[in-house]
Amino acid sequence: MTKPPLRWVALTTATVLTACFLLLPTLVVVPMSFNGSSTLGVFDSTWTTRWYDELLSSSAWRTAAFNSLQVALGSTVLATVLGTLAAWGFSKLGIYGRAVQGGSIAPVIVPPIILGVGLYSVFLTWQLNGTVLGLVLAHTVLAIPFVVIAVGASFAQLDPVYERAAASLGAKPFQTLRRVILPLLLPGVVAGALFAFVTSWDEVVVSIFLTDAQTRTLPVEMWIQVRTQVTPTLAALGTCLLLVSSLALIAMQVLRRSERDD
Amino acid sequence: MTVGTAPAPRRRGRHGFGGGGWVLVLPLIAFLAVFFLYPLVQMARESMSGGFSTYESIMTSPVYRKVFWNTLTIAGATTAICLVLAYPYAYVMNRVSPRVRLALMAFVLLPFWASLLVRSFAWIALLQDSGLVNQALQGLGLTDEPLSLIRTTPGVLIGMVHIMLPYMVLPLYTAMARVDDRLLLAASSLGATPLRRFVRVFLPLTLPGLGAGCLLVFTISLGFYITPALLGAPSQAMLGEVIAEQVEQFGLSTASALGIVLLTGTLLVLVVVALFAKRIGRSSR
Amino acid sequence: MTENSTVTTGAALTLSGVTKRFGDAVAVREVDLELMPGEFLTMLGPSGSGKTTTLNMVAGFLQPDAGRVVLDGREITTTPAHARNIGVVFQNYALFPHLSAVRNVAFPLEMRGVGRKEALRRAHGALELVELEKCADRRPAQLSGGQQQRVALARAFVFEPGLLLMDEPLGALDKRLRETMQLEIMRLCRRVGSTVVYVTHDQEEALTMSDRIAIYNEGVIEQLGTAEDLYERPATTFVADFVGDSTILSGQSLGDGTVAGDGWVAAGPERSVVPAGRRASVVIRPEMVRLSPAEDTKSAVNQMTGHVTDVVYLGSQVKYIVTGDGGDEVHAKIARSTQWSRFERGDRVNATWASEDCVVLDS
Repeated sequence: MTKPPLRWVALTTATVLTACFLLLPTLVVVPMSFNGSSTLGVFDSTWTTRWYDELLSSSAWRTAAFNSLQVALGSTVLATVLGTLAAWGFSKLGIYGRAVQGGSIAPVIVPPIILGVGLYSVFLTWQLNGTVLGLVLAHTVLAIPFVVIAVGASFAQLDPVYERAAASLGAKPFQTLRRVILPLLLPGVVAGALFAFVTSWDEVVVSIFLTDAQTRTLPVEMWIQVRTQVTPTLAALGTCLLLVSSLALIAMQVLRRSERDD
Repeated sequence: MTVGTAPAPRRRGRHGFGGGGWVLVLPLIAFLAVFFLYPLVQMARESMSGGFSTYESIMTSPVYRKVFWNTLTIAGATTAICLVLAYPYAYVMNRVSPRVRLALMAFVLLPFWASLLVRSFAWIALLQDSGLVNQALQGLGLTDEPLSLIRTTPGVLIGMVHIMLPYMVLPLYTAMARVDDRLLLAASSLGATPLRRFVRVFLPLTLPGLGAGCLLVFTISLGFYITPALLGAPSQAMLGEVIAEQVEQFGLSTASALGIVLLTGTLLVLVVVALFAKRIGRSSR
Repeated sequence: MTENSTVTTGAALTLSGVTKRFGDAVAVREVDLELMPGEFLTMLGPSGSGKTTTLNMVAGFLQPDAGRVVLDGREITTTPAHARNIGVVFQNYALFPHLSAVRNVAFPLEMRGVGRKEALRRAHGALELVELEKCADRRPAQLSGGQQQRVALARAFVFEPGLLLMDEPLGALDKRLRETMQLEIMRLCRRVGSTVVYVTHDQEEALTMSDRIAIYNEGVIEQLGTAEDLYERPATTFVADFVGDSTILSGQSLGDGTVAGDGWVAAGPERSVVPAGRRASVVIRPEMVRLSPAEDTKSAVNQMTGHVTDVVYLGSQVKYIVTGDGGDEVHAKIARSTQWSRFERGDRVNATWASEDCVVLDS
């Protein structure tokens, strides 16, 4: 099929521009964080790591980072356990199970701000506002759909014939679980856990409602700073957050690659 | 490895292994009931704490009417712009070599992994008077004075389109990838010009993906908070911002009522589109 | 596999009255089978005829609704699958994707309490037997279909089961590979000495490999016998049709083993008596039909006069399809090496056969 040049020039230009539009804001934080100019977004000719120093030496940021980590780990564990068990259950159930499985994806459809308001009002009565536990519970709700989807996909790929094969080879049910089923599920579970971690790590809307001065997570701290005063320190933070997310993404790719080639 | 389809009994799930399925699902259901459904219920109750009066005042107040209107128009505009940008991008992604496709896909996926907050404030830095965008515009000689882009409607649109674009590209790409090239060849052999072929064959075939993408972008935009709060004009506040404001000012019942309105609106859009899609699916047979 | 590869005593398997229903449909109806130790039995039949369901009940994956399964004198009807010590080779191999070939083969040994090292040693031995030693550390996804098949075989053999079940193991392979693997399976089975129940819908495969064949049709075994039994003395028209190429003529029985049809009369061996007046079928194998130019139209028993309507060149044989004056068809296969002159389409011929070469069956 001969491609008329004009059409393709236009398409290519559009694509390139769109790609730049996508990439520029995502990546621009990196150079911004190293630039000497004290006005964010204005570049001068000096380069420095001073913003990182400020970041790392600030106790507010360190506390926020610690909080973020706690909450992310807690919600990851909780969401992964609940989601994996449920995905296993769903794989055994028929049509009704499928409907409920669809329902467990609901937290993704509901705008986070609504969940934020709802949980805020509920946590008021339960006195969970401004606690790490409250945050963990809230983030778990948000993370659960991802775990259910990832682990559910793993189960779907798990052919029932493996159970029969294992039984025919003499494996009692528990041995089949341990030696055949769990190893095959592991990639899905790990993927779900990584998704859960990143979801919690980046979560801001719900967290805004549920945190107080002591329990702020990194995104919340960032949010407060952005509204008051925009400094390159934020760019440094943004770069760090980008790094963490990227590491998680790379970890997932490595996982998928290793399970396929090996 | 070819794995056969085992004749699993359809009555039960495929893995009749170990105990019952509901026991395993129960913890999840209980958890979501307590920490997801109950807050929504509570929100509804809170909104009704003054009877219907809260809803009345919201619906009749011109201020809130404006907010609803803004939310709808900005969400709609975002969807439209995303569509215009995403369609060619997805189209090109389908036509290029696998290597280039991988790169294009990476560009689309990368933003997902940078938190939305980071990207939003990156836009603040870029769109401010002394930011890169204005520098570029002045450098190219398009304007003499910096354009005020932050805290304006164009500003918020730029930010939201940026965030939403991947959500539009992915469904479009998937739908386009499914289009059988032979159909296009057949159309050509029947005498269709490239334009005709595009409008009468290609476009309709990508409609499901288009619909999915628009739905996704629109519904997410309705409930958006962060980006409009950072980049939007105060006079053009969206529903999310207003809700947050109310919570800050301890107007919990108003905030709840607004939240219910938002939730209902979002669900309504989903239901309407779902029904519509079924209609189209049926009529095309 | 032990190094001195002692022959395992095959197990004796008996099925009595085994029945399985799925809802209203009866998949297996009152099946009786008795296998001698070391025997290679094939269950042959079309899809859905109940052969795989029977196999699954022997393996323990399904529970029969009625009947008993007895292995070496012990009733195993309700024993769970993992306690039956029966080797199974699945249709799509069912190799565990997360384990290498040798770990797959070692799996059943480890399940029986053999230590990791010893299990791997014996697994390597089993792989040598199927000539896949060099692929030992590869994952199933990296192996070809034929290689996966051989690993699946090794995995089923390695713990020396008395009974081996195979569910259409060669279905996914191409013809040449299938033929090679058929011989390989036979060789291995003979060497190990296990009793084998083999399921297939390919009659050539069944005829090649088995000691005895059970023909399944709609949940019932229509005939159980050697290849010769089935081919030369089919018990029903289904068996006659399913096994080998044959002409089946339909006519009216005259009572004494004779059947009259449109333009022909067939007289079978006296023992095949169908009551007079009933519809009967006459089965004639094509190699038993002789063709001669029809010079005169004298009618005779076991003869059909007609035109050659088709000639098919089969390499070592030529197949003629003769349409009789009455409309019925007779197939004849004539070896190329004989002196018979070739017939052309449209030639008028007499197709004849001997009385002892045809089988008269109740329709």
